[in-house]
Amino acid sequence: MDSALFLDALANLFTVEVLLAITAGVVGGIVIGALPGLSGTMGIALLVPITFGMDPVAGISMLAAIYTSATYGGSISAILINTPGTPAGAATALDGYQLTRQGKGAKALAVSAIASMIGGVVSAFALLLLAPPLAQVSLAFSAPEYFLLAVFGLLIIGSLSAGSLLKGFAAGVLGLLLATVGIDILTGYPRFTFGTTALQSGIELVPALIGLFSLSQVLILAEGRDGATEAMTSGLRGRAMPTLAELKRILGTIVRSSGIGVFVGILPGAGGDIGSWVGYNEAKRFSKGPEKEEFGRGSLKGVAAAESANNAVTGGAMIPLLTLGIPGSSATAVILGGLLIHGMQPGGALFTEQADTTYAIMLGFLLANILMGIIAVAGARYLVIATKVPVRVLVPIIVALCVVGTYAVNNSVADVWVMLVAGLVGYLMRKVGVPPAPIVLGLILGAIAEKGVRQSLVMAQGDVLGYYLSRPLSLVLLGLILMSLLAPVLAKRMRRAVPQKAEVET
Amino acid sequence: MQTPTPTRPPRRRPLTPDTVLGLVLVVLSAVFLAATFGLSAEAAAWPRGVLLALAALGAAIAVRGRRAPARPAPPAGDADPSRAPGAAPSAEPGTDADAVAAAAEARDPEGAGDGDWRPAVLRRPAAALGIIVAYVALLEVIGFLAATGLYLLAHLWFNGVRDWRVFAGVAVGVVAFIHFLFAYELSVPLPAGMLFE
Repeated sequence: MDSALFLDALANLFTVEVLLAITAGVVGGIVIGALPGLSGTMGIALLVPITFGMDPVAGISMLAAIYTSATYGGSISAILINTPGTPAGAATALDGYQLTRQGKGAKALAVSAIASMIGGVVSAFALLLLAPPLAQVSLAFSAPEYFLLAVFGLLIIGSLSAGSLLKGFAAGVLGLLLATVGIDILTGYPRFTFGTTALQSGIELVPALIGLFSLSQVLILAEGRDGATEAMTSGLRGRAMPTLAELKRILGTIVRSSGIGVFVGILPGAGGDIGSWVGYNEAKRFSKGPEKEEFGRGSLKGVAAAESANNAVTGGAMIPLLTLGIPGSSATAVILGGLLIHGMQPGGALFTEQADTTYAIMLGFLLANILMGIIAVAGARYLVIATKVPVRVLVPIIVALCVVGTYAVNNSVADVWVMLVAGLVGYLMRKVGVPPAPIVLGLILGAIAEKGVRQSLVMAQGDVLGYYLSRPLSLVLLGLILMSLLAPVLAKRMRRAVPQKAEVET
Repeated sequence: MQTPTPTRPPRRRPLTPDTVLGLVLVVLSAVFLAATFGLSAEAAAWPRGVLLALAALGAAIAVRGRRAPARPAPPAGDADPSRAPGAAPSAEPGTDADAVAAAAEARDPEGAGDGDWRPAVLRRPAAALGIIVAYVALLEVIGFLAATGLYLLAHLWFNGVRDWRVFAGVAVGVVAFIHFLFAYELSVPLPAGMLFE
């Protein structure tokens, strides 16, 4: 990027509003991540309507700050009470909880904070360097490529979500169906409105997001199976800061894990949990002798490896998000919703016409990671106290924010009802093992996919197969789609490569 | 394991949650397919394709759901092991790696469900949803802020809070927060309620 653009982006970034938003996102994200039962995705969905009234740089940077901070926050409960606050924290619990039992909980937290910060910063640089050239490619996209891209995105997110393949795909197709509700833009026919006017404009994204991710989570929490968070503060003992020698020993691990995390993040669909397992495995493989023995018994290296990898995933996952509009995880799917309500369509335009905003957001993400490290090292003790707020008090507050947030986007009570229905559907879906993220992605990509396929049928003039095969970019995407069909097998192997014994007890 | 219920007996269940899910998807596809017949061919083509895919996936899920109880160990494919027989949420057998991975996924807040459909488990979420529905219904009647305050008190009470300081703090804090952030900062016109207009 040239220096004028860089200065513009910096000017957009360093305003009071943006800095406050990022700080709030970091603090809030850490607390949300640390509370078992509340996920970063839920927090992001809850805040999307609030960002609606904000400047796009402030709003999206705040969402990205929550994303990365909640990933770190998940390690707090993983380390202190052996309950990962987010799925990405599962690998951290293996060694982190052992360290707590040895009275080194505070040090494990500090190592996790430093590793998370370095992982996040590395991934933010990767985002800054890799996203712009990749976005250039998307400028060459036409109707067939958009269709294939939508198919690719759905396959990926459907297949890599936890649980069954069939259900993941069904969720994606269900999202595609929801996207067809409303007036067909090409013919003007109202589809699936069932005679109501409220559905003519289609199903709104924000109520669906909040319902599927936040309200459904509330209903799951209402079952009353949340873990006790009271025990967390008791684990915070011992010297907090690691010694310089200890830091030196784990630095190599952190750097390697950060690289792995970025790479896993770029692969669309592979989220923080896979990143942390791969990072952990590799760190174990590279260690020798007594150090290797330490893994699973309280190794600082293990904590550092898992945490730097899962935070590096966040920046990596934002690369396909910003350049292609393909979110790799449920959290990035919600951030995509946030981008769209600010009128930012991922792709080439983000890096040309809206470049000053986009670069400011990416730099804001970098800043958020640094801030997260500082706040986490300095204030982890105090943030842990914030997690003592009992879930039974949090739940009504979350619901009130769901309702007012949904209402605020369009000043519509009808949207609130859509949100309630989406929440109930999301709850039932989760109970039966259908992941909500593909539904949202289908809803987002549905219109793109349909438009792409209808236009390309016209452009193909009868020879559809020949037309698709004659376009080099289409061929690349077809190759990626084939690869994505193999990905579930790989993902399953990565997920279960390590968690042989320690997993069941947690 | 509790006494078998129609939706969750331990073995030889005629109607597993998966079967129900699959059938619901098939029925949903059929209903929507019927709704495409009033459309022009061009407007209906894509939705029909989507619906056929959904029906096929639904049928596959239903068939797999029916077959699952007969197979103690699903192959390392895409059957969800957390719903295999005997895999109660409280006691995951740590015998094979799939079950272990499933145990990890069961705690995943965004991942696979726990498949626990006992009425005792569902009662509290249902009641909570009832309170929330009443809240939304009251929004336009008594106004946004009043309804929110009332709702917070009701749901906190339902959740077992009895400390008046918590009631006061949460109700006043959240209502003030909403008022300042949405009504004041973001100038969202919150409904005042028809009783007061």
